[in-house]
Amino acid sequence: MQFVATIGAYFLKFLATTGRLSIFIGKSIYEGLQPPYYWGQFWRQLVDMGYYSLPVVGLTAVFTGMVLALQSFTGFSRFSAESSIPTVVVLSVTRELGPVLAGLMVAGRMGAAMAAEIGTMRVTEQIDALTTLSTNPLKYLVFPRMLAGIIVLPLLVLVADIIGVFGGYMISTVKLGFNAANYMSKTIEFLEMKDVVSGLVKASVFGFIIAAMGCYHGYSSQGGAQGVGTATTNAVVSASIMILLFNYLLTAIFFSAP
Amino acid sequence: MTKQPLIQIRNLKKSFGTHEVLRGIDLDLFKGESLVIIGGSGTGKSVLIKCILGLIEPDAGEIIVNGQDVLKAGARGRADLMKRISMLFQGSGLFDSLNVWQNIAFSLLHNTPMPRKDAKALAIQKMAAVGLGEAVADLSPAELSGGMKRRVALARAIIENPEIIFFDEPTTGLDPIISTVINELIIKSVREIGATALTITHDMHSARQISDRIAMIYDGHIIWDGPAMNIAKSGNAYVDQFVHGRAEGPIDVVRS
Repeated sequence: MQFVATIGAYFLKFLATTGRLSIFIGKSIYEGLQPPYYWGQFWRQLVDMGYYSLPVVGLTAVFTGMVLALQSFTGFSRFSAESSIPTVVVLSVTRELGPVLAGLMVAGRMGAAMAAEIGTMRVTEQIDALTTLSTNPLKYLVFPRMLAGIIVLPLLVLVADIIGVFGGYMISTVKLGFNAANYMSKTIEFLEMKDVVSGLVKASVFGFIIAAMGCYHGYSSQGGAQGVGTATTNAVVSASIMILLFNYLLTAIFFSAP
Repeated sequence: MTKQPLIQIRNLKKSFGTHEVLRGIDLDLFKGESLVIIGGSGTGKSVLIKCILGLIEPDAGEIIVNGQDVLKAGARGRADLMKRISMLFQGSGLFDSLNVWQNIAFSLLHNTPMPRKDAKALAIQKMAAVGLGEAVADLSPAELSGGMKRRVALARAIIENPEIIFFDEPTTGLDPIISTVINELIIKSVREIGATALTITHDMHSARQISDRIAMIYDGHIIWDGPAMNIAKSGNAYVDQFVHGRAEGPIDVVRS
């Protein structure tokens, strides 16, 4: 009986958190769409989230592309299907690995940073100070981050796609003996617009998730340094899980068999 | 004819879980006066001030500011009300991501909005009023001492000449000399702009220095309210114990 009660308590807690998160997101969007608009904050987030995430996303993409080419080669050579490697690399990177890995890396970098910054602002009364200065914290802190996440992650993923494919191309031509022109033509041959666009749409959703989770956990943090630490961990973990969950849902929507 | 209070609090109640912090606060604050609320740590002083500001939702009661019920005002109404009120936070509440002058001119830059050049000039003018030199304007809050942070927070609180200013433990953590300087700045600034001040503190030196009237909060109620000069002869055993800082007396020193 105790076991059932525990499960029930967890379920109720889950529902309550989902409700609070939905209200938080709804209020942030509603408030953010009303003037005045804080373009300075938006621009700052765009630079922090986009420009400063380029190295980590780029490195992740290039090594992913390289490993993908190498692994595909060792696997596909068993049944003489090496010629499929360019297609496998480009489709894997654009459809799945680019958006998911970029999303997870940005969740680790920016989701944590958002939760820590907003959480510190919460526990040091800076958010209360915003309210007393007639500034809605959701409008000033949360909405610009959400908007930046939606816009900037597809741009990062576009860069990750190019770098990831380049990583595969580099290994295939330098190490695996592929002809460069042949590799490029094979890469483009089976690539469809839908492959790239689906990845970019996923990236947009992931960007929103990262910002929403980072802001929500930071905004709800309580206590001192420990509370901020917990908020940061929760932001990264919940954003990562939601990225993987929504990746499946979006893949099912885009690519499910008719 | 009776004078109409600027802030009127009636039967204000607030609990956190089973812990009743405010059990029915009744308090009036009149225009132009400086009221100090004293009380031990954890007696609900900050909760009271945050309820008035709308930062915490009370469970019951009425808060009337300038004839308008804060709790029934709605988000927009409260935002309008906030434009007439400012606050100096216990930890100063300065924004880490902005430098000193941007902190002071925050409301001018984001709400008015005023050109940056004019806002900076006004911020520097207010910095001078609280004894800060222009060289501090471009520093970040992390580079300031505790006393300087309070001065910056005070400059930010008075930049738009608010009608009402709340001070939450304005001298906590400061040495006695800097505390006196901050108290004098508070008195000077409040008088200059003709504001009404509500201060919460447990520092009796500050309370005597800046108040016209003192009220004491204990066990969720206002247990004494009177002119500052009468605090030494209040005739209330709780107030006497608190004012003299005695461990022995009716105040339950070990609170659950």
